[in-house]
This record gives sequence, C-alpha cells and structure tokens, in this order.
Amino acid sequence: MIYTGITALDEMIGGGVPRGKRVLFSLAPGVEGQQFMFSALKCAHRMGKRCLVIVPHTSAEAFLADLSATPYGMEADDRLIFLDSLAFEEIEANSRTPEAECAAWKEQIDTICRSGPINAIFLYCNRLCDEIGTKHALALFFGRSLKEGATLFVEYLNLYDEGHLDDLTASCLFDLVLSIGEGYGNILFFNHFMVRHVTWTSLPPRQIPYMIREDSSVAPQIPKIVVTGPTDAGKTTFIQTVSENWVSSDRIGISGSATTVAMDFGHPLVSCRGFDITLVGTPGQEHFGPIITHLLTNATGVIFVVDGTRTESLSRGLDILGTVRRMGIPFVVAVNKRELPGQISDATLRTLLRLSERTPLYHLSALNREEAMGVIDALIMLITRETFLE
Amino acid sequence: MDPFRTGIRKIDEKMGGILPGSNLLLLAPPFADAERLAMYLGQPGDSDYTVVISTDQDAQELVMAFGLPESERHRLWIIDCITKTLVPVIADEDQVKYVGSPVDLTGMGIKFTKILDGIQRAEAARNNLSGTPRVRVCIISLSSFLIYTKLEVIYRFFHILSARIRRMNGIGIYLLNPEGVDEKTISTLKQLMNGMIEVKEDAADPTVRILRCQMMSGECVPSVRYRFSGSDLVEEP
Repeated sequence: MIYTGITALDEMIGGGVPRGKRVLFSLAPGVEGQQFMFSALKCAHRMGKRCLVIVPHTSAEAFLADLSATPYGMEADDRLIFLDSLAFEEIEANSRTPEAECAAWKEQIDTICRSGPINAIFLYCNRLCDEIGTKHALALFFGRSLKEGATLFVEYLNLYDEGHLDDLTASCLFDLVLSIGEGYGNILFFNHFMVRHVTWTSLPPRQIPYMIREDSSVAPQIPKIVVTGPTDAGKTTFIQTVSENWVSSDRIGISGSATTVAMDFGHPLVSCRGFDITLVGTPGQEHFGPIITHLLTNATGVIFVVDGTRTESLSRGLDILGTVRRMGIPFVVAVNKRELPGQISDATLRTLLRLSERTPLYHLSALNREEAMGVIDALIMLITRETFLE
Repeated sequence: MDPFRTGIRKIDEKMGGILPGSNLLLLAPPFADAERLAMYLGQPGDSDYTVVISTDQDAQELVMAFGLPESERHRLWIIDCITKTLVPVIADEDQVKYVGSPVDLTGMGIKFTKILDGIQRAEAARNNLSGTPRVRVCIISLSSFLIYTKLEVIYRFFHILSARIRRMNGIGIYLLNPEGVDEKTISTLKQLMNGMIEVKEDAADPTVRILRCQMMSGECVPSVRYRFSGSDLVEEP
C-alpha cells in the first residue's frame, strides 16, 4: 500500500493505493493539482520505496528544486531514480523511428530494474505520449506494474474533455482515475477532485472541493455543512462544541432561553477525515423559514438536530426536513440530549419524521465533543463514500 | 469596454484600437524585429497589465526590452520557459514564474493562473476594486513551442488559453515565423485567432517594415510602414 498523503483521499479509497495498482491523475489545464502526484511520491519515498520518476519535461534537479520549498521536498538519494529531459532528449536523438524510441525506453527501464526492484513508478506522461503515442507510452509501464508489482502513478494534462478521459480510462485499464478540475459547482474559487473510477473499493463519483494552502499543500474542503432543526434542539450548542471559532446570533426568545435569530457559523477545532469543514447553523422558528431555505442553498450536507425528549417539536422538524429533502441535500439525523430522561423511541422518531429504516439516527449530547464529531464524521462518510439514502 | 490602444496611429485611428477579447496572430519573417513589435503591441497601458510567455528570451532580457520605468514595472509579469533549463534551482518571484522547459504545458497553465491571481491581488492592494484588470498576453513565440511539441497539442493548449483571454476581455498576441512552419500549421493556428498582423520587409529600405492588420470582423489596415528608433515605433509616410 502506498499512501497518497492526502488524508481525505486516502480515507475515501480505503487507506491508500494497493501494491501494483495503476493510478491516473488527470489535470485540467491551469488547475493547481500537481500536489497529488508530489504527495504520493513523497509518501512512497518516505515509506522506503524505490521510486522511478519519469519527468521528460524538466531536469531532475529542477524538479527537486521546485519541490524543495513545499511540504513535498525530498533529498536526492539512491531510492529516487530519474529519467528526465536529458534522458528523453538522448533517446530521441538516437532513435530514428517511434518504434526505435519505444525500444530504447524499454531498454533504459530494464537497465534500471536490473539494478534493483522498483516499487513505484511516477510518470509525467504528456511528452512521452506526444512522442511515441499514448498506447505505447503507457504500455511501457503497465506491463511492469502487472508483472513486477510496481505501483504506477501517472499525471496527465488533459487538454480535451471528460469524454477523452473516459476513453483513456476504458482503453488503458487504470485502477484509479482521479480527475482534477477547476471550479466547484457555482463556488468558483475552489478547485475539485473526483474519483471517477476505482477498482478496489466502491465509491460514487463525487466532486470534492479543495484549496491549496500557503505552504502549497492540498486542503480538501467540505465548504458548507448546515446544522438545522427545530427550535431549542441544540444546534448552536452543537456548533459551539465542535468549533474552534464560532459566531452566534442568539437572542433571548419567548421561551426565556437564547435562540438563534439569523445564523451561527463555526470552524471545527480539527479537520474531520482530512477535510476542513465549515458549519453554518440556522434558526429553528417557523417565521425564519425563508432564511433557512437561503442558508440551505448550495449546502454540501445537513446535520438535522432534534431534541430527543420533545415530540412536540418534531412537526416543525418535519417541515424543515421537507425543505432539505426537496433540495436533495444529503443529511444525517442527530438526536440530541441523550443524557436527559424521557427519550423518544427510535420507532416514534422515524414515524414522526418519516425516516426510512436505512436512515441512521445518531444519539448524542451536543455538549460532548466526541459524540458531536462522530455525527460530522458520519455525514462526511455519507457525502464522500456512500450513495445518498433519501 | 474600451479597445486596447496599440500605439500604432493608423490602427488606433482607423479601427479604434483592438477590441477586448481579441487574439491576434503576428506573422513575421526572421530578422524582422518581430519580438520588438510584439512587445510594442503588448506594452501595458495606463490601466492594464502585460503577461509574457517567453520561450526565446529570459525574464531579465524581457524586463530590459520592455524598458518600463520603475513606477510601471508592476504591470509586467513573465512566464520564463528557458532559464530553468540553465539554472534548475531558480525560484519563482512575485512577477516572474519559471517552468522547467517549453514542453511543460502543465506548469505553464498553472503559472498563468497564478499570475492572473497575482494581478488581481495587486490591483486589490492598490484599492482598485473596479473588476477584472485588463491583460495583454504576449506569446513569444509560437514557433519555439512548435519545435518541442506537436501541432495538435499546441493547438489544444492555446485553444484553451485563447478562450481564457477572450473570456477575461484581454488581448493575446501570438508571434509566429511563417517561414519555419508549413501552411497547415498556419491555417490550424489561425482558427484560434480573430485577427492577424502580417509583417513584411520593405524592398526599398531594409530598415523599414510594412505591417498589415486584418480582423476577422472585416476591419483592415492594409499598410503601415514603420521602423524602430530605440524602443519607439516610428510610422513612415
């Protein structure tokens, strides 16, 4: 197993890339996504793997120099073997036909492999594909991955459309295809990655937004989780419990307790499953209905909080849940105040909220950080790994 | 949006300048001082910026060639595709980004995005929040790209880049030596453009060139005789 080093991605694909698998990182032009390959290379190297790095577009020295100012910096050593632009130009100059060029590449790789087993190959394939054809270029490495168990990582600048990527995937038998593109729905300042195809686990194709941090590392995002539910369910408490920084708009309501009149906002103390998360809390009262709808717009997921001791609040809850369902947002149900007496049974909750048996209920105390984070964790699993249940 | 001024009187007066969103193929034979003309057309105006993607000259040479006063240097941004082949450890600067070689189209695209982002931030820091800054993009030169990479790939890459320039209401100037490529290459690359400037030598005077500007919309300036005096373009009668 070789980790990609991007925790959220590793979590999604079951821990990392199994030995001998073939991975394609397809980049859209202009999108800062080279970190995916850099990160996998850094991880393989740190894991003690012997890595062959094919960089026909630059020199090994320039490649390592570019990485040095990033978290992916590595010292050149005997476990990092390069075939770079100098090797490419030498082979090109000495080969009269593409067939001869192919044979020369094979000979070069064979020579390297005879000096010791290669555990992972990192191929920047565009120049090679351009020179000897995509099929021949990839065949040079696919066989080695099948016979010798080397894990293959390929970065490809896709100058065509997604149909081209589908054709490439179909003809080349990659085990994991990750497309990296610009924009995310109508949130244009995020780029996104999407697992389009994976052979060793089941994963729905889903765009995952990410940002590049100042230090050049990848930060996958869940940009908007909305915490909603009826009044006094514990939504604000939930956000405050899990957040490092939060802002609330509570005012004393007619019940005498504080109630949210606009929205709550929070960043969790830690990222969850490798994602940076932003939480937005809604008010619960009926006359704030239009605000709730606005806050739900473009939500990535919803944590629907109910008070597990008060059936009378559930009809209002059903209205809000109806809006969530109409908008097609994935949601989990958090049944709060589990530490109090008079708990409503799951069967009653399911009946009153019209929840199917497949929708899990998470009982928690919103004052307990671990339990609240467990609910966020469940929602992230739903968003990234599962087919939505409702 | 106001057209971009070229600094060439006949073009600016007859056509009113070059419309935002235009991509111009600058066809010029060797030894025609075409780089200087590309830079002249790409000189940043009072309210716009210039991005040069260079495979022929390094960043230092370009800064010298543009000759902008210190107060205007913030308007010139460069993607240098050659220095890293000689100095592998050279690191990016705010206004100068380096890629491994002219074949590193992945790096070039990313650095172009970063430069546009940098220009936007620079404008915001100057409290100019009026919208997207106007950008002139000079490709010096397509001929060099075609030495290293196949036409189909170059066409696809610049198809995406030219569409981006169109969307952001900039102008693109793409230098190409027609004598170094075949007719098919020229006609393929013309598909990306909505205008063309052709440069020819004046048979009577080797210091004088003649340019013809033809836009796809039908506008045309058939003949401008000019020569360079230092960095100034002097129009001849």
